[in-house]
Amino acid sequence: MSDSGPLLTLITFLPLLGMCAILFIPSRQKEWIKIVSLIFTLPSLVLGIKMLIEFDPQVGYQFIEKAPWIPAFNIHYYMGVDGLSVPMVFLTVLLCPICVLASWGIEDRIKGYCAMFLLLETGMLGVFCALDLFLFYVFWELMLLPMYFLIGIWGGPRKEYAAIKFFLYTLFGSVFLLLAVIAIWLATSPHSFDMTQLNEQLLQSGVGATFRNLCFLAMYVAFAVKIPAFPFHTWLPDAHVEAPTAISVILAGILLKMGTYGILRVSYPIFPDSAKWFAPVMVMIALINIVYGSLCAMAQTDLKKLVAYSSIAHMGYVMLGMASFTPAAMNGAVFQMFNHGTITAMLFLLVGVIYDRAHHRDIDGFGGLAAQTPIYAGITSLAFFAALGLPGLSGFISEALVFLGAFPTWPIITILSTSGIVLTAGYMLWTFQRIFLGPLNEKYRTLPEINARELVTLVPLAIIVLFLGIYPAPMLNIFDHAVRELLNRIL
Amino acid sequence: MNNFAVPILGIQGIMPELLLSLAAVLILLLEMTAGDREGHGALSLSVAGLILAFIATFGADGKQVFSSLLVNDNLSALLDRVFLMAAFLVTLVSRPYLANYGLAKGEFFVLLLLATVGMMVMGAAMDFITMFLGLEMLSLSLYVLAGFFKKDVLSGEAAFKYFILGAFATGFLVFGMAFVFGALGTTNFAAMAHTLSAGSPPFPSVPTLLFGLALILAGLGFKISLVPFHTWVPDVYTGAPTPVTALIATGSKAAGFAALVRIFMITFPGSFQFWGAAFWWLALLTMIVGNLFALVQVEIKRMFAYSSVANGGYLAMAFLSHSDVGIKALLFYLFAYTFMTVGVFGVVSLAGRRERLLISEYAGLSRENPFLAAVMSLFLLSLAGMPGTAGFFGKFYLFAGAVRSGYLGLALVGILTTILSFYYYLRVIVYMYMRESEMPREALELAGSGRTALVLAAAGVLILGCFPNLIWISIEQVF
Repeated sequence: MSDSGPLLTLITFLPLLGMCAILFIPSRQKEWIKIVSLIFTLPSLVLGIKMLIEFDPQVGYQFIEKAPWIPAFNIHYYMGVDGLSVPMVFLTVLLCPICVLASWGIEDRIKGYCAMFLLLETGMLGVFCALDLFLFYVFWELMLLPMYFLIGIWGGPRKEYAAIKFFLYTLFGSVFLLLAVIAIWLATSPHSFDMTQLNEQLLQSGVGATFRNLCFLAMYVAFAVKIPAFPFHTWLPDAHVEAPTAISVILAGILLKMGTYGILRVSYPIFPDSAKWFAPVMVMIALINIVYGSLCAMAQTDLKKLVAYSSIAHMGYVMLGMASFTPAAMNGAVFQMFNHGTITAMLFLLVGVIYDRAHHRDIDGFGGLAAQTPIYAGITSLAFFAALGLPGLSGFISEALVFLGAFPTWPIITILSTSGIVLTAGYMLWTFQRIFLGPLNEKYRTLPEINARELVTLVPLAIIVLFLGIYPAPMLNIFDHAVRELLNRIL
Repeated sequence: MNNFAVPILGIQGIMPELLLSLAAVLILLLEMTAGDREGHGALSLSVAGLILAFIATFGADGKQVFSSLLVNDNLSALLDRVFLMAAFLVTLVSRPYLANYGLAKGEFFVLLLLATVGMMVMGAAMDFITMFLGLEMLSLSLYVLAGFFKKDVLSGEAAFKYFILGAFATGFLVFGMAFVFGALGTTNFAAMAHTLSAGSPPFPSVPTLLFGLALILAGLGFKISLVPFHTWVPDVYTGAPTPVTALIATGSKAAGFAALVRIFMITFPGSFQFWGAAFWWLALLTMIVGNLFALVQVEIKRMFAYSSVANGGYLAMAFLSHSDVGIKALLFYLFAYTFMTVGVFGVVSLAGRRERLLISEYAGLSRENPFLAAVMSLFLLSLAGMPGTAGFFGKFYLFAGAVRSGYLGLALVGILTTILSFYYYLRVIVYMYMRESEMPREALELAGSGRTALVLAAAGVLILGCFPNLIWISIEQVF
C-alpha cells in the first residue's frame, strides 16, 4: 500500500524508545533528561509532517501495517490512518514537543515525569492509529495510567483527589468499552476485531437492533467520559485545575478529542443505524454542553477553571456537528476538534505563563497587565478571540460550519446553541478586561514579560490558528473525503 | 519370583528434578566443609542448579517413566518452568534479604530447592502415590521455611498454623485418594481414565468416587487457598519470611493447580457435570471474598495475601472452560502471576525491613529508591490487569475462556472484582508516589542479586504483556 516503511509504527513508538532512553539517564542530570525527551518527541513530529504531505485524501485507510499479534483470538497489530485520524495524529505530534518545552520549569522527579509523558504520547498516537478494536482498547487503557500519575504526582494541592476522580471516571467508561468490545467479538463469526470490517460482519451474523443499540450505548459512555459530555463532565475542571500546565494542554488538546474521535472512528462506522437512533439524545447533550458549559465558565474566578469549562462548551459544538449528519456539520465537527486542540492548548499555556509568575490564577487578582506585559497581552488576545470565534481565526470557520450544517437537521437546537457564541464572547471579553485592562495592579509592577521559551511554545500554534482562519482549505481537504464516506455509511 | 520385570527407570525423564536435588546436596556439603557464612556459595550453587534444570526441561519427550509413576510431557515441562522461574527469582531475592537479618544460611537454599523438586514431582505425577510424595516434599520444606526466623514469634506462629492446617488438609487428600482407589481399584491416572472410559463402573452409581473427589478437592483447595479453605493464608503469608511467602504464593500454588489439572481436567473430564458446579462456586466465592478482604487491609503483606487468594479465584475459573482452552489460559496466567507476585513480594522483602509494615509506611518510597517504587508500580498494575502488562492478557485469556464456555455471569463477576482490585493496588502507588514519609528516611541501597531478580520479573511482566504470543506458542504445544 505505502512504500514509506512502518511510518505509523515509528511515529507511535519513537516516544516509547525515548522513555527507555530516559530510564538510563541518572536522575541528577535534570537538564539532560529534558533535552533527551524533547529530542525524542521531534522525530515523530517530522514523520507526522511527512505523513501529512504524503497523505492522499481521496483514498481510505493509508500507511497500513498489519501483522498477527495474538492469533488465538484473531487479534492483529493493525495500524492505519484515514482523513479523520491524520489531523489528530498531527495535532498530537505537534503538541507533544510544545508540552515538553512547557514543562521545563518542573524539577521534582523530572525523570519520572518525562518517562510518563513519553509513554502518554505513545498511548495517544496508538489510539489514533489503531484499526484493530482490541489494539484500540489496549492503547486507550495504556493512556489512562500515565495521565493518572502526571496529575497525581506533579499536580497542585488537591492532586490526589483530582487524579483518582479522573481515573475512576475513565475506568468506569473503559469497562463499558471493554464489555462492548467483547460483545462485538462474540457476535461476529469468525470472531473479529477488525474495525474496518466489523459493520459488515455484524450484519452478516444478523445481530438484532437491540444488541447494536446496547453496544453503541456502552461505547458512548466510554467516549462521553473522555469528551466530556454532560453528565460525565465533572472530572474535567478538577483535573485541569490540579494538573501541571503541560498536562492540561495535553488533556484539553488531545485527550478530549479521543472521545469524539472514538465515536467517529468506532461507534459510527460499526453501528451506523444506532448512530441515527441516538442522534436526538446526542444533540440534546451537545446543547447542554454548550449552554451549561458556557454559563459555568462565566461564573468562574479561577482562570484555569474558566478555560476548562470553555472546553466543555467547545466540545459541545463538536457533538452538535457529529449528530447532524450533514457534510458541512460533520466537517465542521472534525475541524473544530483540530482547532480546539490548538486554541485551548494556547489558552492553557497562557494560563501557565501567568501562573508561573504570579503564583495564582484569580481573574480578579490582576488588572491592567496590558501595560506591563504587552506581548503577553497580545498573544492572549489572539487566543481569546480565536476561542470566541472571531472571523479570520480558525475557530470561526469550524463553528460556522457546524451551525450551518446543523441548522437543516436540528433548527431549534441550533438556534438555542448559538447563544453559546454570545456567552463565550461575554466571558472571554470580560475576563480579558479584568486581567489586562484598567489601571495596573501595583503588585505586578515588576511582572516579567513572556520569555523566549514560552514564545516558542505559543507562536507555532498562533500561526496555525491564523493560517487556518484565513485559508482553511488544506485542512478541510484532508478529512472531507473521509467524512463523506462516513456519512454515506450512516445515511 | 520368575516373572519379576525390571522396571524401566528412565533417568533422563527426571533430569531436572535430579539436577536440583544434586545442587541441594552440594550446598549441604559446602555448608559443612567450607562454612559458607554469607550464603554466596549457596546462592551460586542454587542458581546453577536451577538454570541447568530449566535447560533440562526442554528435553520433554512425552514418555512415562518409573513404571508410569511420572510423565515427562509438554505440560509437565511447562509447569516445571513456572516452578523453576519462581524458585529462581525467590532465590535471588532471598540472599540479600537473609543477609539483612544475618541468616543467610545454606539450609534455607537447600529447603527451597527441595520444595521446588516437590512441586516438579507434583506437576509430573501420573499416580496418586507420586503426587502425594511431591506434595509432602513441598509441604514439609515450606513448613520449615515458614518458621525460618526461629526467634520471631510471628514466624513461629506462621509455621505452626501452616503445619497444623496443612496436616489436616493432607489428611483429607489422602482420605479422598483412598476412596477413589476403592472405587476404581488403581492409583494410576491413565488406568483410572481407561477404566472410566471403558464404562465400568458406571460413573454416577459410584458415590464413593464422588466423595473421594470432593475430599481431594478440599485437600488441594487448601494448598491453592480457595475460599473457604483460605483461612490460614493471611497469618502464614504475614508471618513467614517474605521470600518464602513469595514461594508459597506462586510455586506452591501453581503446584496445587497442576495437581488439580491432572486429576480433574485430564483424568476425570467426563464427570465435569459433577465437579463443575463445585468449581463454579469456589471460583465465585474466592474472587469475591479475596478482593473484598484485600480492600480493607492496612498491612501490606496481608493485603497481598488476600490478593493472592483472589487470584486463585480467577485461576479456578479455568476449570470451567471445557477442554484445553482452560488449561492453556491457566498456564499462561501461572506464568504471568509468577512474575508479578514474586515481583511484589520481592519488593516487599527488599524495601528496608518494611515487610510487616502498614501500607501507609510505604509513603515516600519513590524518593528513597525510585527503582523499587517503579517496579513495584509495574507489578501492582499487572496484578490489577492493566493493558501492556502480563496480568492483562492473563485475565483476558481466563475471562474469554469462561465466556466462550458460556459462563458469562462468572466472567462478569471476575471483571467487576478486577475493577474493585484497582482500588487497593493503586492505593500502594498513591502512598509511594503521592504522599511524603512522616519521618524522612535515607536513600535505600539495593543488593545486586535482588535487583537482578526484580529486573527479570519486570521484564517478564512487560514481555508477556506486549508479546503474549511468545509463550502462547509453547503453551499451544501442550495439546
